[in-house]
Amino acid sequence: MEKKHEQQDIRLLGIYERLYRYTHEIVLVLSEKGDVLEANERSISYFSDDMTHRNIKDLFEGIELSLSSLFESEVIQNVIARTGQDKGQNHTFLLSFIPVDGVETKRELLVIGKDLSEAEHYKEQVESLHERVRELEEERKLTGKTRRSREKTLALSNALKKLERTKGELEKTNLTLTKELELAAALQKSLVPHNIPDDQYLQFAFHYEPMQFVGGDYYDVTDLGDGRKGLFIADVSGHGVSSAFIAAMLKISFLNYAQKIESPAKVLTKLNEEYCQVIQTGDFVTMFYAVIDPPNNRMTYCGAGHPRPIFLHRENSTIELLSSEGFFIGMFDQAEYRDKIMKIKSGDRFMVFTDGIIEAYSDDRGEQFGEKRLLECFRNCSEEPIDGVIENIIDKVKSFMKKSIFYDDLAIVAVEYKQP
Amino acid sequence: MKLSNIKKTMETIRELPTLPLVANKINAILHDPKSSVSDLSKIIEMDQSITAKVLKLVNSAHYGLPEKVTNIKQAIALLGYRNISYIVMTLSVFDALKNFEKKSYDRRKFWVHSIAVGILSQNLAKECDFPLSEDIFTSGLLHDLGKVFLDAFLHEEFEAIVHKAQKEGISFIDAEHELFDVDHTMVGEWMARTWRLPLHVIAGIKHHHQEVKKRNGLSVSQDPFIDIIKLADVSIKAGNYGHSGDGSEYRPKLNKELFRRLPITKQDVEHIMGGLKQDLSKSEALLDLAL
Repeated sequence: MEKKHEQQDIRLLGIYERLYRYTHEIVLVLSEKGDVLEANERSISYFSDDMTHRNIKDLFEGIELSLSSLFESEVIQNVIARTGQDKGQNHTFLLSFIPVDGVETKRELLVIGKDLSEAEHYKEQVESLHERVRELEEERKLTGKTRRSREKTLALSNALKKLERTKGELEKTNLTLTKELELAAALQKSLVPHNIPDDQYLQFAFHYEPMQFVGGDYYDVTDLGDGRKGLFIADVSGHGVSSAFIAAMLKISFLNYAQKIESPAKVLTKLNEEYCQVIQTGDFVTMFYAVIDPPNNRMTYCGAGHPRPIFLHRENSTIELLSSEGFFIGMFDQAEYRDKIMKIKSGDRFMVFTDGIIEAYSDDRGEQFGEKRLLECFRNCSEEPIDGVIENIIDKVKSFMKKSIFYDDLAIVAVEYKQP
Repeated sequence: MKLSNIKKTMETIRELPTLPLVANKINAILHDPKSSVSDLSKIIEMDQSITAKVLKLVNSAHYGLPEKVTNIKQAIALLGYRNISYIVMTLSVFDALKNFEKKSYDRRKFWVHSIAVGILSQNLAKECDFPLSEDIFTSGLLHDLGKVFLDAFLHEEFEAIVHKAQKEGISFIDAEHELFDVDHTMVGEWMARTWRLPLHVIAGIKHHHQEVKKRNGLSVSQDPFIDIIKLADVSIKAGNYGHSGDGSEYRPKLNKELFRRLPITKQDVEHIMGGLKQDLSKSEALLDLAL
């Protein structure tokens, strides 16, 4: 088991190394005093000299904050700063200072910096052109069409040409951003297991389809020993690189706690405490974690604002929605989570999913797929093998949506407690 | 009233009422770098009710545009992608709130207060040369969202707070803190996050009663635009525009701390408030849409 974790860690390390090397953002590691210990490839392209051992406040203008105070509050600070005249060019950066506590007694700072210069420049240009076009329209109305119309038309046509050129430049920047999103999407896809092996008690089936842009869905199944398995699913709200990052961090935290802490509620409490500090963007994470214990015919679970999983009791063919009261993760650090324990028997099955399934929208019908339809599908497939169920549901969701655009990831995991 | 009670209440109501679907779609395409103006206008136009309301608002004195706007694409060209998205989002919030049945509390006076805070925040932001004053307007407008929720779903608790505030001549928030360990900023923040409202709106709701050093948890928590909303809220209360649950004898003070990080003075604020009545009258259309 340890070797498996080692391999997973090595794999993750490989991914992060690539991210560190190829990202378009600058990544620096600073000492507590602000001296640069390490810098990635991208940062080297901005600073002509060797960066290591120079202080961050020499490299950037506008960093007023006290670096040591960051460790007290454990809050990520964002600062807008400018590079000096090193290469004769001025760049404006959005720098995020992230304290890294825990490398023995050495405290370090991780700094991620995004170059705002281009975006600011184009934004200003577009805004001023917008203003100018509005002014010209007003003038045209007030002064009438015939008066100085030729000059006006020329001015308008020049403004429009300039707008077109700026639009072209913006599209180039857009392309770069899209490439970054693709990198993040690849990272996110690599987080979820590509197959979940069965064991003597349980059979798993799943479907995961990230949509047009990067979402933050993550699920995992982990072996807890003694025939027990942990099933975890999470949905980071929002989109983009930050959601993929949070999902990646969640994976590491979850794998860490799941091995040490038996109670799902305690795991969620720990994750909530950590992520209230990390998630600063108004996003939130819903999650559901169940510890399935077939040898003892028992399942312990806890949810945090997540769509209720659907459970089939084979014996009496009843279907139950598993509710739990926890708040979503990342907002209230005093939020409480409570375990729920239920009896399970062989033949039972259940399904967890993220809200992309329920909220799949049909433009034709003007409504969402919804919990009711999902329940019906699940009920109708109760005699089919578990992978057939998943296929069936995904087919139904997709044919419901037809040509409507997907807005969210589709993620769904089903488990069957095998009959002897 | 404990945090866990709120969640329990939610379970009995099934879940927080959702925003109209158009709002969710707007959120999604705002985050899609490949989306365009025509995507935005198509999505809005699929909801006829919202389209009508957007056009009504855009053509009202609130925006004071020089020509009549007849379709969404035109509205976007004149006001911008971002502003139209905010308008749709705000109207969606209004619609969702209207579905909250119970209200003992004078909704009209509440929205007059909220709109006044929105307008004043925007005017103060312009005076301070802050960018994106439209964002600040929306943030000011929705800062007390949590109170509407409390009124609708934790009605007894809400009445108790209003009663205590009135009896003792104190503010709504002080009464809340004496009675319970949860307040309208926390509840409002929860609603705003669940509805995926923009970050600065969440920040305005979360921090508008807090001192600067107590504000954390969001990347914009330390941003001075929140000081503007706090200042606007206090000024509107002092000027007696509308009512937001404080005791009628409560008089908030415009203390120095409110101005510490802003490049304006008390006199500047008084001067700007001089034009407020007129601005408010131009926003009748917005008030109608809220009620």
